[in-house]
Amino acid sequence: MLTVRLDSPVPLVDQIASGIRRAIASGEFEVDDALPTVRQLAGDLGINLNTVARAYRSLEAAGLVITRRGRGTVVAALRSRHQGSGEEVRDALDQRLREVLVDARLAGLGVTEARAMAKAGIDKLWTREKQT
Amino acid sequence: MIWFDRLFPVFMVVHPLFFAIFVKTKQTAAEPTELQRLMRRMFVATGFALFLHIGVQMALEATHPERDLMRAAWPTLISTLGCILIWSLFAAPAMAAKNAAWGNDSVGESPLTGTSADATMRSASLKPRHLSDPISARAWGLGWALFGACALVTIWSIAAGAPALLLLGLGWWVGMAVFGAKQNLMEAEPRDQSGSKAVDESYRSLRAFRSWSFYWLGLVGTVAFTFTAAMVLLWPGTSGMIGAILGTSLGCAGATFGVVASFRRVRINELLLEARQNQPS
Repeated sequence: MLTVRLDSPVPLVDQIASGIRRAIASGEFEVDDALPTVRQLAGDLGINLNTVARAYRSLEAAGLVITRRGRGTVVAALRSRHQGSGEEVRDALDQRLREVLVDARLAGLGVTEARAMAKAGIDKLWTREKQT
Repeated sequence: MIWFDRLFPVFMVVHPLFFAIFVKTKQTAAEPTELQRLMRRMFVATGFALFLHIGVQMALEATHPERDLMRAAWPTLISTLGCILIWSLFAAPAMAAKNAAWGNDSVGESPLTGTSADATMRSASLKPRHLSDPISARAWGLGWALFGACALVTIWSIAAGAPALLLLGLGWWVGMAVFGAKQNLMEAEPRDQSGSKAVDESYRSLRAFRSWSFYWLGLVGTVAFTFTAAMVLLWPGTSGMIGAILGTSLGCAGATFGVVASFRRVRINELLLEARQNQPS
């Protein structure tokens, strides 16, 4: 399920792209699974086609999805999602994680709250893996 | 078939009156003043349409007393277009105002618009619908095979003297049915944040119902066109009447499917409203 908020300061394109990223990360999609068409998603959300198309293009640029003739946009194989070597990817992720933690600290979150938030996020993303 | 053209004026009186009766009998939850205004508008429009129709029929009766099917059919066709206006401009808004659950874009004239157009929080399923056609490949194959066979028979009938318009009609009918069945998968399906199972199942069932409705309308229509073309050759005296009866029956079946689908959309909207009330904001 993808939910967007029209009154959010986060642009709709980013909300859609991050919603699909979350769905791929949590295992809702397997490699080569098709995403809904741009028209379907735009119709269901009641938003412009171009907004969804831009979100799909950003996912394609990130190597998360590819366009296949006859099937539409599908989830890319794991290897095409990595930009660089395993170590480089880990470094980049570590850097982004630190930035998020800094933001949490600056927003005034306590250590317990930040830990609970991180744990909830991890639990949500890795649920499927735990089940299998 | 002298009696047959008498049916058209009667039909055209019943047609706009049906809208008025249908709206009048639906239960209401609207503000009385706003509803009264909409209902009054609808009744005035219906009265005006009936006045025009009866006036045209009386004028034709006085100036062209000879009975002629085409004379009856043309004003009827024009009145039919008038009925579409009455429905979309007057009857549908009045009906939507009578019940909050009907007051959404999935009822009436724009079923492809999302029902949550005014909500700030919108949800959608990420399951692709373009790859889950309720009609199996085998059923499509059978349909196309039947169409091929019927097209050949119709071409043969035309070569033997049946009107060529029948082949155009057959192509248009099948094209409309296939287009409808495919477009149906892309009809907007707004969801609630929690992804209610009841809503999911209702959408799946509506999609299957609509796709199969188009499929069967296409299939039966194909046979009806071919049969009519053959009847022109085998039984020319009554082929027009048989064609009209078959055409009207298909039209009535299509309208029934449409009304049932609208009722189901209303139910889905009620389920959605219920689910949204229970979801965290």
